[in-house]
Amino acid sequence: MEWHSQLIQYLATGITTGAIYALVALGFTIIYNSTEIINFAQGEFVMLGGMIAASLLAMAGMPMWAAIMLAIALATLLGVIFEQLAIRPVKNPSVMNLIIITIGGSILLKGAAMIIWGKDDRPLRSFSSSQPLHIFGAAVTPQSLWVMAGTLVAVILLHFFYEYTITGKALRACAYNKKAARLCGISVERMVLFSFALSAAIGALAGILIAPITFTSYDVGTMLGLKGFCAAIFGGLGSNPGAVLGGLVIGALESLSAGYISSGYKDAVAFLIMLLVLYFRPTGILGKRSEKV
Amino acid sequence: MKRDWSLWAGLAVLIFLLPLFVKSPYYFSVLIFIAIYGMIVLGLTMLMGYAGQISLGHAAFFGLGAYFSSILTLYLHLNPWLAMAAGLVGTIVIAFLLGIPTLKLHGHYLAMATLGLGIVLQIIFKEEVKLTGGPTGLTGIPYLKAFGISFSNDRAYYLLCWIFMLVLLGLSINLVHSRTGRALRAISQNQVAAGTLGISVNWLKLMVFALSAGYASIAGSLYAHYLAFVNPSPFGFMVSVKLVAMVVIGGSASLWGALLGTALLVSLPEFLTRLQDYEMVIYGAILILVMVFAPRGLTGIAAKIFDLLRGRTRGENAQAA
Amino acid sequence: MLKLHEISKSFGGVHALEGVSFELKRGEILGLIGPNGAGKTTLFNVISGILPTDRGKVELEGKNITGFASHLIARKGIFRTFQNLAIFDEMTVLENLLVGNHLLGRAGVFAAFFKTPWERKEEARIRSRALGLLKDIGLADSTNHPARSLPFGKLRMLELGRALCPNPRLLLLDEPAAGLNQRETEELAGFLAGLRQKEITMIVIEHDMSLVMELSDRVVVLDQGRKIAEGAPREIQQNKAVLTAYLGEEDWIKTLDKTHA
Repeated sequence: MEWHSQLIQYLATGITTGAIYALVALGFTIIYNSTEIINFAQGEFVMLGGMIAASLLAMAGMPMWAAIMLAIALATLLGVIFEQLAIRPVKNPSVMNLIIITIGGSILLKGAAMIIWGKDDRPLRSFSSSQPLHIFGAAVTPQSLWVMAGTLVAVILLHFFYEYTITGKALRACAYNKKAARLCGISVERMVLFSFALSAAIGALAGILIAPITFTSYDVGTMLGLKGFCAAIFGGLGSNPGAVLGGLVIGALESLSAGYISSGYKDAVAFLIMLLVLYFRPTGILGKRSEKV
Repeated sequence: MKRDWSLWAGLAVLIFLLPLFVKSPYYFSVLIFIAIYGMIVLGLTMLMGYAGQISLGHAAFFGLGAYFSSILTLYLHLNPWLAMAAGLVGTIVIAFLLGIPTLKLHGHYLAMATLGLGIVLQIIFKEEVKLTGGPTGLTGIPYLKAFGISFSNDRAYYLLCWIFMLVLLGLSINLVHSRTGRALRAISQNQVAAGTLGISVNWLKLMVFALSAGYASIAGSLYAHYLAFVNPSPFGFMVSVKLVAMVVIGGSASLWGALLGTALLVSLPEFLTRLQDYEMVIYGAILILVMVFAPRGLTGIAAKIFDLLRGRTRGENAQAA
Repeated sequence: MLKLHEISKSFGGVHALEGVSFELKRGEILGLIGPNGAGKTTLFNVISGILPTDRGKVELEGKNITGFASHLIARKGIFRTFQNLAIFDEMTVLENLLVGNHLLGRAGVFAAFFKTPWERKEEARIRSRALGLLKDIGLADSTNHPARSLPFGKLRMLELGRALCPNPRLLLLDEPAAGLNQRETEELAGFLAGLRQKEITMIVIEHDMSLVMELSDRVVVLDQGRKIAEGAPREIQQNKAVLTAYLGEEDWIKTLDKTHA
């Protein structure tokens, strides 16, 4: 293959996975913004999205779009339940408590998934055809384009939501100053609930988009969640554009290093980037400088 | 302090009497694992519970100890005890160096940095095949020998591990009840104030981090010589999480909590062998339930019960003051 | 003994401190006053090594201590209390004082691990000093009670006691009377007067004017990060700039009338 085709190939793969990381990172950022909680269970919602969609599709007569919508809805519901049962009841949580609770939640969801669906990989049909397209000599599957498009749409919708709707502005208010938001009549509790729901939905979307490419199984959530977290840190916890940037950068770098350097250390790339950011610029590339680290 | 030493003595007696009543190698095996993980959790408790620093990557130090021992005894034919000591020093140095930039972080950021370090280290274990044997690992690790006894059966190894545990526990009890131990607790409660009282906060954080890595390293060496085989899988994120769970469930600010938490979480899967599929669900549920209902863990509950029995409540304390 | 020269500190666009300079003689008690936001606590944070200064120097007995980390400042004998109380809540009253005596010992980790005789001796010394101090501050009854069970007034005393543990050369008190009622404030004043007898050098930030005027040998006034006055308590009370800072332009005339009436 020509060197430029190879480069484009790697970039295409990188941006595709990067888009998924971006969505996962957005899920972290949304919750972090309104609660300062890092939701370690985020990755599991990604997994659930794909798994539920795959199960629904296996049911006779279920059209693709219905399965997707329903899967997202169910995952969102689970996100709500998770917040109510695991987050809300905790009084005076310390950082350690919250980390452990969300980790516990992630293990629980993963274990439940394993019981319900077993350990096998589940295929999810591509949204359109699975014939690769050839762009500048690189083979790109249509599903990759779906992933990029889906992510782009989600990011744009999110942007409009935050800028132009009352709820969105209320969420931003909570991010800036919870007490002040409360004094303005915003129900912080409801905003927290909403953040978890929104995060779960975005996570589920990510899982559904990527499942046709990488297959889905009960344990895909862990790594995706962790790498999405690396992306969020890279961009700056609390910054939505940062999350998207982080996802794309990490996805691209991961793919490029796997192609040009070593594929064994591929998984380490995201974490090494995160460590570098934490050591040299902990608030992230686009994060608020003043944040206490 | 006296109470801790009495408990220690009681534990020592129990350890030595147990083999008179227990014969099955299976039980010894479980007890060996409780000792091994218990050592790591002991160190981690000093780091998390006493100094207030979170680590989500401690399984990596466990792995470093195991790999140091394995590689040095297999390739360099070093005496296993020397290898263990070398591994201890090596791990402490590595932890110290990694700790310098890492411990400048707090809260979530510290947690994520330790998580990242742990994952990267495990990937190194998997990828450096020539050194570590890669995913298949290393086999044929020699047994530990001393005074002519080869520690190759479970009963002997049980005693060996628990002797190590008793020693480490004793050292920890001393540390916790010393000026340094108080300084660590001060750091976890108010780092700024601690600094203004002359406590070298950065140095102590590094020191306890390296120390806890050292404990994990010894555990790793014992692990390697027990199984005579190591591969990367016991040294990953999930195990680091389980270690943190053991700290927290026992009650993070208590050395005895460390032992309790370990004993509980190591033996639990053994009791639930029939429910093996449910292990993850139960684990996750336990973590959530303990954090929601008993954030101070088992020792917190024990302390509350103790207070109730003594008739002392917070209100009475306030009145007396 | 202490010399501050052109201390300046900004946070983003806010000039918390701007060219603050003054000197302090040994055994002196300096009152540091000024309206809220004047930068008094920031100044303490700079001196005690919690915040670095952007410019300027801090000298202790002629030696430069600018930018030293807080534990090194403590080693030089400078100790402080905090405006919002920095008690170790999860420790007992005695343990708080034991930590206060941290610098009395030098045994490190290994000595602690093996409980060497050296460590034991140091620990005994730390303990006896702490118990002694406990009596001095009147909290001997609560020795083993958790610190958080103490009422607010006693917590202030505890923090003061903790800062006194290591025989400080210089004591920085940040609003020691804040939140105390009349009786507690009088007890505090008495205690501080006792300290003055022992010739402990102090800088005291306070809003309670009568306490400041009664206690201080000299007063420095800050407003919006700048030093606007310095002198004996009597002079400061009548200083135009000071009254303006606190009361606003017109009201100082009324106050002056009152004091002359």
